[in-house]
Amino acid sequence: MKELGLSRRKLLRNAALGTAALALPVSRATPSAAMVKSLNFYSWTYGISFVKQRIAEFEKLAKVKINYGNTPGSKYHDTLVVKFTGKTPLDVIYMIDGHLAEFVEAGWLYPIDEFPRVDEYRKEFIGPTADALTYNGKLYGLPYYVGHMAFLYNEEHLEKAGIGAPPKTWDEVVQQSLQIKSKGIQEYPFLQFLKADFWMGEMLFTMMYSRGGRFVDEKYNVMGYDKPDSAVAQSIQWIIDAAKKHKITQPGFMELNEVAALKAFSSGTGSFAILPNYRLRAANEPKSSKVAGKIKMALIPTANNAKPNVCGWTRAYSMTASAAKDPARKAMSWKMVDFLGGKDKSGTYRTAKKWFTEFGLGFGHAPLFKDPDIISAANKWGEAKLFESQMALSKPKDGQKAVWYAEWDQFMRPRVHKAILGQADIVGTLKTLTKQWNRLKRRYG
Amino acid sequence: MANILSVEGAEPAAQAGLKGWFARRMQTEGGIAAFFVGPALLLMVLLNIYPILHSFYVSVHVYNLKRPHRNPFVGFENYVMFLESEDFYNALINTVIFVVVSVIAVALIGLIFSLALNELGSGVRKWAVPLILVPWAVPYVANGLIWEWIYHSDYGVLNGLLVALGVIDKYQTWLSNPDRALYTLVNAFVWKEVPLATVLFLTALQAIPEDLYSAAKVDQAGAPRRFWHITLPALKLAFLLVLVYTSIISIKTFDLVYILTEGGPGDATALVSWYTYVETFRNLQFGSGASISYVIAIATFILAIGYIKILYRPQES
Repeated sequence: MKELGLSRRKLLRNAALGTAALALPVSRATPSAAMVKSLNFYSWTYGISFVKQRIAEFEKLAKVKINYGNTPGSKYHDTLVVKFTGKTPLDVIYMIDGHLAEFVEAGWLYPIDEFPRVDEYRKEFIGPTADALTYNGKLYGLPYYVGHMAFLYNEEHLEKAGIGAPPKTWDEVVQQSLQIKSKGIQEYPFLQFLKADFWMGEMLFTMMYSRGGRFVDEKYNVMGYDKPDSAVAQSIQWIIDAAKKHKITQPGFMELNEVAALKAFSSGTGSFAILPNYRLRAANEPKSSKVAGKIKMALIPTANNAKPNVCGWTRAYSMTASAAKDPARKAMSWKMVDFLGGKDKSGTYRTAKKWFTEFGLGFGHAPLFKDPDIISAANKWGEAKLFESQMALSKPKDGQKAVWYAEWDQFMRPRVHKAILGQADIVGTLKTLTKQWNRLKRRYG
Repeated sequence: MANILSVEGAEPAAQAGLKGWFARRMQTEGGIAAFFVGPALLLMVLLNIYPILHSFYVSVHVYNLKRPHRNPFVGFENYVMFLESEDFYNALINTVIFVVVSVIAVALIGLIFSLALNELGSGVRKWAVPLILVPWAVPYVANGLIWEWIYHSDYGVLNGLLVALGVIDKYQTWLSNPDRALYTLVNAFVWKEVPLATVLFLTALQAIPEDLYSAAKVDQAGAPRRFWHITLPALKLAFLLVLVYTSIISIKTFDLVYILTEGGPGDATALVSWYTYVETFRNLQFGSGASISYVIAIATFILAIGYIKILYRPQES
């Protein structure tokens, strides 16, 4: 040992320090977490009975009371802002990747990098997940689910119209829709929803990505967004033509939101729809859908020889900064985040797996793609391989991690509506949007 | 028995002094009034005056939650910024149209309903008045949701009814048509606010002495003249209440926009209240949000003073 420059005394001292260091997080975290009597958990309204079931399991396991609240997804951002501003106690929340920058900058979220097992989880995140949940190099949650916009079609309508395969291009969407319309199967075969709400960005980015377009690069420089032949200009023009020229889109599409679109599609209205991928299961659920078993998913149609890219997103379980102020609360909050977003004792992402098999919600963990239960469930209402392919081609919204993104998004919505309504020209609108982006970038940059 | 005004545990001299002062104050009308009004006034200062002053403080600072630790004083820059914004002027025009049409519609329909109810026998009126108040009792959000179902272009009741009646031959868009959307909001607002106006007018109508009408009839005055010379002047105070209340409520209208249109299509239904909300809670710009709120509050106050100046004559009331 002397040869290694290590005396016995040094060895014992280092060993003792090492042991203490290893034991420290446990001895500090575990007893202090036990001191917490209750936690405050907030989510949006989805799968509430399952959420409550998991909460009950966690309460039993961690011996803590969970004060649970929720609000509809469309109001989630605004409700959280009010709660955070009003200093309402919140410890663990659902977090939307598009709000990450905004919430971190406001000082509302706490990074989870310091906790055990985080690195292990991070290695198993699928493609865009780690990036979506990272801001300024820090990770702000574990995935609740990962989703993307998906192209769905009613197989029966296509068969009745004599169409052998779903459309591969946006031109084919028009052709097939006209064919379906001419045979009187559907008056408006393309079910579009474009209310000026939260989902508008996801829809427009999907249509733009599938035409090979980009909005901004990694440094938030706008990439030809306002050019007359840009992918976004083509997308808006396609929406206008579909509604006014071809009349394949229902007239009220600008007042239709995502939930209403699902209900309409599930009641047999429309032959094609772009909806979040997890809605495929609901559309094929006999209890809630008149067209159960007839709704299929295809890769998103494309144009300009682009790849079938779609807009994707990650939702997470995150810990709030206020929870992290108190060590005991912080430890318990992590326990809950880990319980919901991590693996159980058997090494399974139990909550994520259940979300997929019971609700069709996508997951952010690569090992689950190989899970036999997942594959079996996926094949019941779709094709597991297709899910994986489209997921691999999903991309988060360009620029969504810019702290000003939400402000720009809000600015964008009425202006794109006006362009669709013909109250403003498309290129002029895109120039205004570019100008606003650059103005915000200067202000915040 | 111990006096409730005694101060337990105080020094005898001080107690006597304090007790004496308090007892003397309680002998005067002003003192008693202050004793009873004081706590409420204190609460009002805490809950109303302080937030008003604080919001003014916020309005002259940069208060952007995306940059929470940078709150420099900017004077009236927030005010200048939104006054220069095209979006604000669009919202202002929409709000003026919304308020003017709503207030006129509520006052007129409320007046017509109250005149009709006044003609009914008291037995019928006893049942009709509570029934007519139902829409007013519906919470604003529920009102918005009801109208969402009514107006929906695919499954809305309105389209179904109009097609059944043969008024239209195919379903129309109401909320996504930029020429109609604002008026669909007005309609939903009027439906909710007419009941209160009706009751206010009805109360005033029932206070008019029947003798006046009898005398007018003796003088050969026809119904229009009786209405013009007796009924309308007697309703001035009710008009004042209806106009002030409806104007304030319509300027503040937010729930309907939030539930039904989110300001769309385009910016066709973006009212000033919606603009303020977006600036504050979506853009997290609390400074400029507060400045807009201040201007709306002042404008509403001026409008109310205007109504009072025009309609309120103390000697008449």
